[in-house]
Amino acid sequence: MIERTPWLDLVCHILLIAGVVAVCLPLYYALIAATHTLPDVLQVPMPLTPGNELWTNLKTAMARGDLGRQLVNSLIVSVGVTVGKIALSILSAFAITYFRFPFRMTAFWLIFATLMLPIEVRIVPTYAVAAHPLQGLGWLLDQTGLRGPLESLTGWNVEAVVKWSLLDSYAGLILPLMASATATFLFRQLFLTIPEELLEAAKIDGASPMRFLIDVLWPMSRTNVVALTVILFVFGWNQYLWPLLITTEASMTTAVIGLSKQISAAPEAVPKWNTLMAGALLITLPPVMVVVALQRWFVKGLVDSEK
Amino acid sequence: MATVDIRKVEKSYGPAKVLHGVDLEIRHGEFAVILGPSGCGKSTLLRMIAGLEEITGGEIAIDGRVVNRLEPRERDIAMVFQNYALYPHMSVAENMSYSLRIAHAPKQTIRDKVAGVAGILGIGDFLARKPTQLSGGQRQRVAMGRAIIREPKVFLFDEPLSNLDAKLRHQMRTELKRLHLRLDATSILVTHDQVEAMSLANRLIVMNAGRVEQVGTPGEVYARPATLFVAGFIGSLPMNFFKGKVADDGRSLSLDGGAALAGEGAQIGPPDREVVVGVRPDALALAPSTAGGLGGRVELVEDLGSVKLVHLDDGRDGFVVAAPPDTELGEATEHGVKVRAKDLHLFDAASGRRL
Ligand SMILES: Nc1ncnc2c1ncn2[C@@H]1O[C@H](COP(=O)(O)OP(=O)(O)OP(=O)(O)O)[C@@H](O)[C@H]1O
Ligand SMILES: [Mg+2]
Repeated sequence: MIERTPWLDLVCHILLIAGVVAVCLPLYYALIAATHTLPDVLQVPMPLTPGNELWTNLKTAMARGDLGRQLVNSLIVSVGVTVGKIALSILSAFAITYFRFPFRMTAFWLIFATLMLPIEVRIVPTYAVAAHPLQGLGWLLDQTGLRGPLESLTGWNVEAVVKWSLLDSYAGLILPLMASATATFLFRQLFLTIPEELLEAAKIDGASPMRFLIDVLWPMSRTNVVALTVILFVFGWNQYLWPLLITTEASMTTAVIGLSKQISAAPEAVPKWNTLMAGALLITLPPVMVVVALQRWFVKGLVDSEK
Repeated sequence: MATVDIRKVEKSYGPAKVLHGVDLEIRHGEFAVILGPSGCGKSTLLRMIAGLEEITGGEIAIDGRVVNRLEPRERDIAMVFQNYALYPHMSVAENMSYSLRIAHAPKQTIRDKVAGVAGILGIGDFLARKPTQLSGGQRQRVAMGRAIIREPKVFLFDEPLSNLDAKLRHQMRTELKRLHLRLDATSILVTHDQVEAMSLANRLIVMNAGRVEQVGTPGEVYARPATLFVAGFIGSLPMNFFKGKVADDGRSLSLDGGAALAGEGAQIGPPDREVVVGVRPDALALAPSTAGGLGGRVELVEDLGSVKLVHLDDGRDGFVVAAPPDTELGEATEHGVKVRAKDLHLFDAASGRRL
């Protein structure tokens, strides 16, 4: 089909180019700023061609504010969220799709409802839970009067257990971000498209439910898993509000938080935009690498399953 | 020695009853074919044997062991599905060996068996391919290979050939039969294609609306259909039916509409009974029209090459005569027909059972 619509083409191109500029210009600025000395960056107007201070700025950025440690933290959190979320959602989707159990649909709708409750909405109660996950247990023991007997019988220090907290821990950073309705929903929809005969053939071949999940469903979900990995890694990497709230120790800070803290660290002083931008470049690098590395698989998966 | 005994098996989906007490005994080495119209419950019955469908009532025993409560994998059966249900991400060899790998068979054993089965089925050249890279017939073979490799007691096939084109279907049909003989297995196949059923079966089970209508060799079922349903269902040309009544002496029939059929001296049926008479088109021969005999006006003629199907209008439902291909007929001419008493199938008008 060949259409000739020069005006429409023109308008579309203008819009697209405007979009590209809007996305790329800030990136370009960041790149330029990262290659100059601070006085150069602070000139008005800012230079628009690259300088030759990039390496120095990168080194300074790495050294300042413990960026290396923060990058590692970010990596642990993103990988944790990604792996955890995929494992959790594929298992729950498997349960909901392939097993008949009481309140199956209730479970599904409960999961579905959390689609409307991202971490930002439930941040206060989630914080309360993360601060003392076992507080409820302590309350229960107090109410039932079992605390005393339990402590004297087992020698456990119930108080210490109840005081246990997820603040400033990787678990605290990762777990609340893991439960994911979107991914569960996605896997459920995928599983529904897989012909029932495949399950029956596997049953006859002697596969247990877990074998079926591992040997048949998992390989058939590869494309989805790769796409989700990209999305979830970036999602985990870019988390701001939750890590900000739950971490107080510098050693547990993630890179995104660390960077923003540097900006606001000395309110009276001018932020060191050149090293900040160099740091920003370093921080955007891992998600970019994940996207680049996985997009080949992503495309391959799409092409493979199309047949 | 694998037998399959089905005793008073019933199946309901909620309030809807789809099987009303099925009794069958399938002996070792038999190729049993379940034939019936769409929706009669034949797949349901097969899936109950496989263990994919819960048994609402009755008992199924494989090799004398009641399997009602056993998982499919514990029943020692293999099943070939209509759409093959091959694992799309596994190669042909992996598809075939999946059950062995689950059972943790030694690698060398698996390799040998795959090679052996692939040899039998002629699929040795594409063991490394994925199912999507195979033609329909090749996929069919892989599906069969996946069943054969387990050396099960019973093979179950649910319309395994219906996704193939006509020529391939014929070829696979003969191959299936050969395979059955070679493996000395017990096979149960479900189909709604009667040619397939007749050619494969050494025991034909005709089902209708959740009940078994007749069990027998294809020849028996064709020659002596037990019910009106079987009579109408079996045979490549549909049987002609006439309503009528057996005379008081039991030696002749008077059909509704006036025509009479004589029993050539012998007893034709129970005296004074309302009946339905069935005659196959190829048991009828055209003859000069006679008063009081069966006949009618030529309505249309289908020339099938090997046979001419003459539709005669007898003023009622009409009927069909299979005439030799060289028959010349004038348009709208009157013809009588001749029929031998032994070619008449008499069914009780009320119950539809053979008399
Ligand atoms: N899961 C189900 N729930 C309710 N009714 C069902 C279910 N599966 C099958 N049935 C009904 O049971 C009856 C028998 O179905 P079955 O699949 O055994 O038919 P079939 O003889 O194999 O037909 P076909 O030749 O079309 O495959 C049908 O009327 C069908 O509607
Ligand atoms: Mg069916």
